[in-house]
Amino acid sequence: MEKIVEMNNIHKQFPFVKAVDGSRFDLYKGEIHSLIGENGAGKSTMMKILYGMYEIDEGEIIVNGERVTDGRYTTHDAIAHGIGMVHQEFMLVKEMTVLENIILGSEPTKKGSRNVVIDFDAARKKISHYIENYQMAVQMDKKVMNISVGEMQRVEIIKALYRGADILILDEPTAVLTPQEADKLFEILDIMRRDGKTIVFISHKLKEVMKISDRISVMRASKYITTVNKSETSIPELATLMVGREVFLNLERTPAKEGEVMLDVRDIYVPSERELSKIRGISFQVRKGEVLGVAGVDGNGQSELGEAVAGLRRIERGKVFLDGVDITNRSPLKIRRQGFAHIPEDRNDRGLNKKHTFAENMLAAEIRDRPYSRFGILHTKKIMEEARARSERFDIRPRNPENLAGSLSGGNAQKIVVARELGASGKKFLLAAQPTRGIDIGNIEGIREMINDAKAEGVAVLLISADLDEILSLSDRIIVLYEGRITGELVNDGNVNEEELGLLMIGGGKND
Amino acid sequence: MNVSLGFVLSKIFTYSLVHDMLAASVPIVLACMCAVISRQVNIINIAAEGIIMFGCFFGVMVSYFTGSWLLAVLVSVLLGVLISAIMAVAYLKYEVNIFVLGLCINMIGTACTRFLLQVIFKTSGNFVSEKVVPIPRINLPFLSDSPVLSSIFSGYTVTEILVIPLVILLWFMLYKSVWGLQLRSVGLNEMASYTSGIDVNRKKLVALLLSGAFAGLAGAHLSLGYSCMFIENMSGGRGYMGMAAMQFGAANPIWAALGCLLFGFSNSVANRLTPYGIPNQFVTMIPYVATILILAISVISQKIRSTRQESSLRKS
Repeated sequence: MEKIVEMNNIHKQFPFVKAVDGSRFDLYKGEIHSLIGENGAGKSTMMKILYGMYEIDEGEIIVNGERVTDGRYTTHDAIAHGIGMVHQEFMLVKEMTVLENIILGSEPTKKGSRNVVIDFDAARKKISHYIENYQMAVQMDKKVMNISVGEMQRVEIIKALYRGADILILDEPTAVLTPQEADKLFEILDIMRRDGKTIVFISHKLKEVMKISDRISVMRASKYITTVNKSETSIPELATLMVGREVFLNLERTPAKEGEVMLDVRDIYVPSERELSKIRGISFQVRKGEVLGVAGVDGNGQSELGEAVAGLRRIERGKVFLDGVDITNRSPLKIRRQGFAHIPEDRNDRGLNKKHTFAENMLAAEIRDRPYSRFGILHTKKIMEEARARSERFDIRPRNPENLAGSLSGGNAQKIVVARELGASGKKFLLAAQPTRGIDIGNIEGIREMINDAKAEGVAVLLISADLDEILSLSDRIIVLYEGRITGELVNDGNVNEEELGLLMIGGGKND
Repeated sequence: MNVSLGFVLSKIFTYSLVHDMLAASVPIVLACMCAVISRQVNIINIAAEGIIMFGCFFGVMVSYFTGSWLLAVLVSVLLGVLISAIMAVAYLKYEVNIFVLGLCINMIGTACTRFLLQVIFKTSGNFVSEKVVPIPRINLPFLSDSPVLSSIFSGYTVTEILVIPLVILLWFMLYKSVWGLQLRSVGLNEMASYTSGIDVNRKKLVALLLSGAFAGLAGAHLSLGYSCMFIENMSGGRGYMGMAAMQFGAANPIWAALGCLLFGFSNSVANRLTPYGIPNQFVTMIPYVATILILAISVISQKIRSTRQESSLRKS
């Protein structure tokens, strides 16, 4: 087989981390090559380098026999070399239509208009060819903000094919799909392989990797580990290669107690910029000492639900009670004073102030109270003492509370948030939104244990997560959100069927 | 009192107000296009005010020394491009805050033209000369029988007539051309544009240069078309009014230009009020009060619209 991509001795340094440290990667024509590794291992960075998004500090990239890194190598050049990438965070202009997004940067023009006027008809024709060929339905005239996440992914794939991609890089494509949608994606990838396309599949879900790959490359801690043939390896071997030790993500779940109702959500309606994310009348209760998991494909109103309960988004109708107190449309501060703890879904945007220190972040919620301040003057010594104590208790590394929050790894940064929310006394309720998104396995274990411990101490927990494994390992009960409504409720007795959950996640519920 | 109020109103709201309103709108429309183009690449460019001042002064100066209005307009436009190029380098390459840059240009624009007025023309306050050749006006002789039609359709300067195709062309380029789709995508989602193979900084540079050209043209028109003189501070907030109209029209050139008519209207009404004993301070305030009102109305209506659209109670 013909080798079409070679990346050798790649180095890339970011402000606080060495993202890629002397790594390598290669591609043979017509293969599906999986690149696996933990969050933060450098997989995405490595592929973004191949797509021309980052300049490398050292190393070489050879595409179709040409050393592209001899000159300046940009995304524009990568596209010209037939490389396309579907990013984990979709690169779509949400205010524009699907059609405009697909042709952006490669617009066909009307004859005789000197490449000025866009020929939308020609574009439509070309796009319907891909839609039929790969059975990827998209609504060309809808604005991207009004389509589902699964459809956005199809738009991204068509966008890459439209640009003439022969090499398609998919960054964690199944993270936003239900199990059924993922199977459908694999069928599409299979057809593409038969058509002679080459595919890079970035993932850490080993079951899927074993299902579709020809070869598998492993990265760990910014370094290249090895490449193996699918036929010569197994899931346990891959897991060990990936993490560097054996992995047990089997949390001993504390059984739920029959406590009193702590959070009572009564028929709430919540607005959203996206049509599919509007909450349209949902009710549920969370009891003391239990975890209620909210499952669903991203973008079906999970974020809106979390924000509404936390006082960050207006509730248009309905009521929310916390321990009997009406907290509907109260300010976040007032809600927090009722014993509300919140791990926000976006750690970088809302969870932390990366330019402040570890200690300042950890005590941000209590800093206006004694003993951390008196008459508005900060008591730095007390703050440092407490921050150090909590960094021990929640195992945050490195321990130095004077470090900037931005210098910590994703997992340790998230632990600061957890320590801030659960370290203070008097917490009755925890809203944990995507608590382990994008962090490494060691810290995932740690954070899940912290949430389980909080529950065991009697805190009521509402867990919102797109990760089904997480929902199943922590929750006592599960509700499924689809287009802003609850499509089903299950008791997590250990016999919950993933297929059944998947069906509820695409709206096929008993309530219909 | 009632009689005199009616008299004043009848003197103000006459058919000739249409011509005055259109003429007063044109400098604001040009300034507004400066704001529109930069807004489309997500840059809040406040430098129109300063570039207009340079355009005004150099327009008068070049016209005075060469006797060519066309050369004067060209120099002002190129000067606008040059100033924008300096801003673009500072903003895109050295990442200086665009607001600070705009503020600097505006302060320099006022001070520098005042200084040049003293050095070159040895005068202060204003400069009028018969040697300054204005932008020619196009009269339509076949309308001269009807004073109303003639007032409304005749006697506009070349630049005033040119403004209409310019706005339409800009709208067409922004919404129907490859260039415009890419430009707007840069403003809406930079990362998505970059990963689509678009050179984001290049698009921003082009947008800034074009916006400078519009502001330069606005300046030359103000001192050679709308009037025929240079006055210190003669831009009089038109750059900012253009920004307000841009906001009003949500950065769409045609809606924004229509918004400018409201400013043209308030400007010309204010001009007509002056002789009727209303305190001057009050009269000069009118265009600025109009700015605040128009901004408030456009922001509130946009807010209402988005709230309605985002509501979960609305049937989809």
